[in-house]
Amino acid sequence: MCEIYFRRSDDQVERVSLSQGETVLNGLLNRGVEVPYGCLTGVCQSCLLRSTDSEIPEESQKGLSASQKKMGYFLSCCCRPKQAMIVSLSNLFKKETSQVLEKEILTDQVARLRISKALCYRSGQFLTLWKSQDVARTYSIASHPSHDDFIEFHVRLYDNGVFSPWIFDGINVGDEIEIQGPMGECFYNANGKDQPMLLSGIGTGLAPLYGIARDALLSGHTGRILLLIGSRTKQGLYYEEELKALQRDYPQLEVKFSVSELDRDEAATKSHSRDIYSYAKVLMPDLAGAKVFLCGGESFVRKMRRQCFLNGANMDDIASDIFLCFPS
Amino acid sequence: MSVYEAIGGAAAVDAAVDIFYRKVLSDERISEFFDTVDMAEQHKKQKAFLTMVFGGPNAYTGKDMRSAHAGMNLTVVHFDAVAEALVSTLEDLEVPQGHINEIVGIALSVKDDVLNV
Ligand SMILES: Cc1cc2nc3c(=O)[nH]c(=O)nc-3n(C[C@H](O)[C@H](O)[C@H](O)COP(=O)(O)OP(=O)(O)OC[C@H]3O[C@@H](n4cnc5c(N)ncnc54)[C@H](O)[C@@H]3O)c2cc1C
Ligand code: HEM
Ligand code: FES
Repeated sequence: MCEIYFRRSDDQVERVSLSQGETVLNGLLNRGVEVPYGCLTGVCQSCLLRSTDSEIPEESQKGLSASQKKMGYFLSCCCRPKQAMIVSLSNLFKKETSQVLEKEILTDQVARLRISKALCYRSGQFLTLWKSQDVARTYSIASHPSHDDFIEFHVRLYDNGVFSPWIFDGINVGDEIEIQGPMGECFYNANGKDQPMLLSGIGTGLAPLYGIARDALLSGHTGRILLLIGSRTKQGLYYEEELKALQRDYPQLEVKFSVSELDRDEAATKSHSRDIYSYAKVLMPDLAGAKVFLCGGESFVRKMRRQCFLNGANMDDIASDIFLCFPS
Repeated sequence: MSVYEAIGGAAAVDAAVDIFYRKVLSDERISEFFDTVDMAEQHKKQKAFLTMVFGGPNAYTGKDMRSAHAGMNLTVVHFDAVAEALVSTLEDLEVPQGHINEIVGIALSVKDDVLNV
């Protein structure tokens, strides 16, 4: 057990005891301290806290910049301290206010949100969106910074979720929304214009991949680009028309779908493959020298990354974003 | 000049790490030890391994190797598999035989510690 002293203000300090292995974020939330958070896995940085005079566990500063580390910032969702810590909320990241320009429900599972361009970004990076002072989630960017005058997100609906149902039913065109970022390393690098590229994702994992594919094509990428999108059911797929149009304009782009639960008729026509992993292997067997982008749930990203690595892609050439994973 | 410098230092480690890690993951005798969820973290450990056996700068002692591998119940079979992956990586990279011998020598020098005997 160890103690956390949460500094609300200079003269108001709250003491919270953590149980064995509990994170600082969890401990504070359980005691009713409102710390913002999003991914719970050390990605979105919305749970950032600061501690200037205590020892900070190394793993809670992974992915932070050298100056952030020096200033005592750490990710409270990954912080399991062994000793007492004095912590306070951070006001490091500037939030920008953006406006909802357009909202479209694409399928019963996926909504497209377009907001005003309140900050600079690269296609495929992600932003943290705030629903209220203490509820934040991260979403990847599908739009292009110079060709689109909006920032576009594709949001998948989780019925029991806190944030995504609000995108579907709560927020409206004209509303203001606070955003923060950008973050993430999944974006196109124009250094290898003739490199083959494999972009693969599940569901709304398409959002960053669509952004990256367009960025690559608009930057004059000449190498083959394979965009392989998986979904459990056919209803989970969206943007098929947009992708077809893109394919017509750019012959180097190849778009394929994989659906794991096909009904019998669909399976018979063989228009979709069921197993995205073996399909990827058939479509692009040798990944030596290829650039790989993977976006989706944890098990997909881990399994596909391993396969891509074993099929010849360099570790440094595999970029990935894990959308959801639940601490077990 | 140390063998580490002779084969190109940190750049040699970078060139070798993906090839070596791929071989290790594909070898059924040992893949389970390295097939963790966090590939990026594992990738770093592979680099530490290569830097060490190339005779590069590292702060590890035999005692560290003992504790790093304690509790894994490693046997000669495991050790040989890693050594084979190492040698075949170096051969893929066309490292001269003399250097390979030297590198294998370094690996053998910590064998007892790694196997905790
Ligand atoms: C880098 C990054 C980029 C992302 N980009 C996108 C994107 O472009 N598009 C997109 O749609 N999403 C994206 N996400 C996911 C997104 O941030 C949210 O996690 C997602 O929208 C769910 O939020 P929610 O508040 O609706 O659901 P939450 O309230 O967070 O819960 C999600 C769902 O999981 C269930 N759940 C909660 N906890 C558990 C648990 N312990 N075990 C099992 N089930 C549980 C809930 O009931 C709910 O159905 C991204 C995430 C990351 C980290
Ligand atoms: C040839 C001699 C070997 C050397 C010089 C060596 C070296 C190392 C080094 C430097 C580390 C990193 C320690 C750290 O910083 O945490 C390490 C970790 C490890 N080694 Fe070895 N190793 C050897 C043999 C083996 C063998 C034979 C196996 C099993 C087949 C093995 C399995 C591991 C594992 C599983 C880890 C820990 C990885 C982790 O913590 O995730 N090693 N080794
Ligand atoms: S980084 Fe901690 S909640 Fe996202």
